[in-house]
Amino acid sequence: MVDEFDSFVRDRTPALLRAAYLLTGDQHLAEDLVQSALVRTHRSWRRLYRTDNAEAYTRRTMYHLQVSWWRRRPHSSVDLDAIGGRAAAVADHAPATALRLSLRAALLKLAPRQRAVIVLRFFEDLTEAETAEVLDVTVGTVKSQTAKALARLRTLAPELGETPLEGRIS
Amino acid sequence: MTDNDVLRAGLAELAEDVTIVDLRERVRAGVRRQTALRNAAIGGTAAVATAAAVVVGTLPRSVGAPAPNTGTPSVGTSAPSVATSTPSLGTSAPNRGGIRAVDFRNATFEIPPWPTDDPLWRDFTSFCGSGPRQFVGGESAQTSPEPNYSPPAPPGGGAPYRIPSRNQPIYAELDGQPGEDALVPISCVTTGAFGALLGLTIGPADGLNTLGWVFPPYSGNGGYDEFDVAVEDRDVVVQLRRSDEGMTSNPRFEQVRRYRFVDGAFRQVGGPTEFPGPIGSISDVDFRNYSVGFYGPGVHEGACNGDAIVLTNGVAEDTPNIFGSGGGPRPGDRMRYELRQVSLGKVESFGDQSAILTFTCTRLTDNAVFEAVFATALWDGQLALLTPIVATDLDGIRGVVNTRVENGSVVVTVRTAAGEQVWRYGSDAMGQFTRR
Repeated sequence: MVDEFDSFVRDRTPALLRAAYLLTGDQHLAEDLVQSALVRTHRSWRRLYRTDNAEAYTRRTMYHLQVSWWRRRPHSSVDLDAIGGRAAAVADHAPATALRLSLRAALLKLAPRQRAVIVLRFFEDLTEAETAEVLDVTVGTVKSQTAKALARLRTLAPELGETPLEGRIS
Repeated sequence: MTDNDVLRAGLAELAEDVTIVDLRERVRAGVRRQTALRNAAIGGTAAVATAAAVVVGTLPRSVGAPAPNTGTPSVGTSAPSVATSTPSLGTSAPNRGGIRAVDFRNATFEIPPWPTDDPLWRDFTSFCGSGPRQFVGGESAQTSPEPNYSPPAPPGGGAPYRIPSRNQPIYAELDGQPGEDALVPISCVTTGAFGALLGLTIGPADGLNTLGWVFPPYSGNGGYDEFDVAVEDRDVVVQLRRSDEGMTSNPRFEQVRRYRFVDGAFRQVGGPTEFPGPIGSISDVDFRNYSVGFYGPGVHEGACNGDAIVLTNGVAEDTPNIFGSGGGPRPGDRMRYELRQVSLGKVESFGDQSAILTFTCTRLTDNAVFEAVFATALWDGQLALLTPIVATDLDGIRGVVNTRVENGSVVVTVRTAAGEQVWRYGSDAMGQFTRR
């Protein structure tokens, strides 16, 4: 059973880290978030392994943790102004990098649930119903949060909608 | 390529910025530390009690989808007489008490215009049109394509309206005129579902005349997320709840407002007119006359829990719809909540402006008493969901004497089988409290 959990951690860490990075905008916070979700998964590993629910549980836990965590940690853990400033500074020289930083900064300015909805819907490619299930909310909430998040992203990073992607993000 | 495709590709690119590392050793260490902490805190028993605490609570009622309540408002006033709530299913027919049950879900009536005074919600409700709508099976037809998150909507709107079967109408006297009246919870199904409460009169041969919206579907300052309704002597008493803006959508704040049909429209006759704005300092919060939602990771695993309550002079009574696993309120139980103590201060890893709330919860049906200490903190002008620190029956304690915040920790004097003891609790990086 221990070996199976170890293998699960090894196999799922890359995908979880990528999503966690989008949720937190920071390498170290992403690692902490994934680690915390996996530690909690271990508490129920025997049941989860038996029912083949470990991956769904871990992901769900990670998204829930992200919100409660974010609400309790100083936002200065990720310096949004610094990210925005770096984006502006490199804009003339490396537009692709600047746009990636801009997207990252814009994501971090979303409310936690909006950010989670965006990552689940547009990175993990979950349906509205699947997203609602992960977040324990209604499909209506997913719809409205998605709409609000997209509207805010377009305000925060208008360049995302201006030109084809290929020319902007390498 | 659509904007959403651009976003998808952008997120995929951004995600590749993370460096993939092997977390196995860190996870092993975390498991070891977790086990040690749990053993230290609760003497090695009931280790699974909070195992699922991070997957928060019970499902909330759907946002914007009203759930009329035949119970009584919980605060301030004596329990009002509650109007009869009658199922709407079935055809028009004489019903109990001489009130006809109307099948609103298969009827035609006028939808009034939606308020347009709030720019934020106007953007989202502009697709909710007005005029006569025919409902078939609880839903009116969509009359034009949804503008796909890009207001403005087509003139007159075109969204379908929905009367969910689980949201039953309330029959009551509303306009003071002869004839029967009803309150019908209704949702505009657009980007999200926007709930509202419509007043109607039932004319001869079941003709329906619209009295109007009882209260604006969404008011300023963010609006509400769900509501319960009762009627007391023509006053519509509405419990409005705002939900946590985190992921859980659990109610964290509640208000009671009263509306009355006067001079051709529903007008507010009691209660606050809007939700409070952002909180500047936690010391500004009068917790004894504020609202608390008993929601948060692990809250319902203790016995001192419930729904959202409104405190008046530190006391509230409620019949919760939410029942935890900790042996507190059971279906139908009336609960009394007393906020006994509030301690403010900085709690490391939890919040510079934290509040430690000590509650006594009494189950009035059998006078069973439960005590619990919760933490909340001010973030971005809002109070975080409650986080439990100690509770009777949860950590082997028999009661809570008092609390204080000291050197970044929470010091709780508890009663145990061995007498009073002073325990110190600290928050870990995840905001979970453990005994130090």
